[in-house]
Amino acid sequence: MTKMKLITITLAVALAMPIVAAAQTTASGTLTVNATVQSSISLVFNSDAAGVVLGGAGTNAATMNLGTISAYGPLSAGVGRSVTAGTSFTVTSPFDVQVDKSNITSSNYTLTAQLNAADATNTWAISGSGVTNASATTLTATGAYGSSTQYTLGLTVPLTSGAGAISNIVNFAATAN
Amino acid sequence: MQATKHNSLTKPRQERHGWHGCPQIENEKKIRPWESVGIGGVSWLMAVAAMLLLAGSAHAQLNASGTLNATLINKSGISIVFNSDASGVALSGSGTAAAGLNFGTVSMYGTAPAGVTVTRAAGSFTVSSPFDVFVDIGGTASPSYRLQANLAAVPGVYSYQIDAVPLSTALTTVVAADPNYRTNVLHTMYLTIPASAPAGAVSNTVQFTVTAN
Repeated sequence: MTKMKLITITLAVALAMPIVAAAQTTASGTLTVNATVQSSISLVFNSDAAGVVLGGAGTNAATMNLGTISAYGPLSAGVGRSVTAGTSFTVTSPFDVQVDKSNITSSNYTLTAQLNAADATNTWAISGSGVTNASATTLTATGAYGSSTQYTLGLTVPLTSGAGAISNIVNFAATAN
Repeated sequence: MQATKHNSLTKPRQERHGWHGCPQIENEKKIRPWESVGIGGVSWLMAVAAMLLLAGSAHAQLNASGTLNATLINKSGISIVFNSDASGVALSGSGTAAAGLNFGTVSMYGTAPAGVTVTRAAGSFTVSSPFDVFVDIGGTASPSYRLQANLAAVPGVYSYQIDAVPLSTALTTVVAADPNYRTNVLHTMYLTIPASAPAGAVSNTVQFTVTAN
């Protein structure tokens, strides 16, 4: 009988312990947050106050529409022109390039440009540097981060070429130094 | 055949079984069955009776009854677990009280991982992801719970925030009275990374405390 009482007490205590341990009005949990930060830089095109308004300004895929151009006729706002008598005329328009950096120890960047497709008739240039599809042209090797830098697109059209649409894409690449 | 049968019937009586019917034996002391087999002076009948008693005793133990007086103290209990939200990153340890939220590889200008939203600002960017908090309770009629959180480690140049509540190593109330027991409640974890911070791993642990109101 004494043994039975002992077993009874033991069982009672064993059953009561988990209930007491579980009794609580506060609970806790942990959420571990992880991330891996990667270095990155960005390039965007901005409209220049003196140039044509870019389509997609503020992005890295903008468009510049020079409108209807001619050697002697009127031009759209923001478009400049120079004529080489008897040879060609060149239309120009400034635009801005801004390169930003994040989570990287880089003091400056290199900016290059390259035509997407060959143009056997017309001549393309960025701020006086010829741009073709053959290779990338370096526009600057010491570009400053965080501010808009003005560049000028130049398109030279021979006077002998036929009238019609001209289109090409200039691929820009900024590389952190 | 007949002779064999006769011979069998004419065997000496002392060789036949039984204790009566034979004049020679009837004159001898009659031996009773319970007297013919003795084991240490105890008849086999008594031995059988003892075995029956023992068997009865064993049978009684299988049917023994007792009373267990257990006193259960019914106190309230509350629990918290984290669940992945359908629109956020999948939590490791989802469904437990010790989960992990990995934003993955993030950058200011790169493509955000699935379930992660990147918000850029001047000089920093913020990654965010929703997650669910599930609080259960029993043994009490609590109308709501208070959700608090704090960072386990000093965050340095990084900023952590749950919903609109910035976190620090001090316990901070995220929600003072949330009545939504037993349901997933969406919260959003924000991590702001300065552009000047170096590339590499970022880690901290958010400790949650939920208290029944």
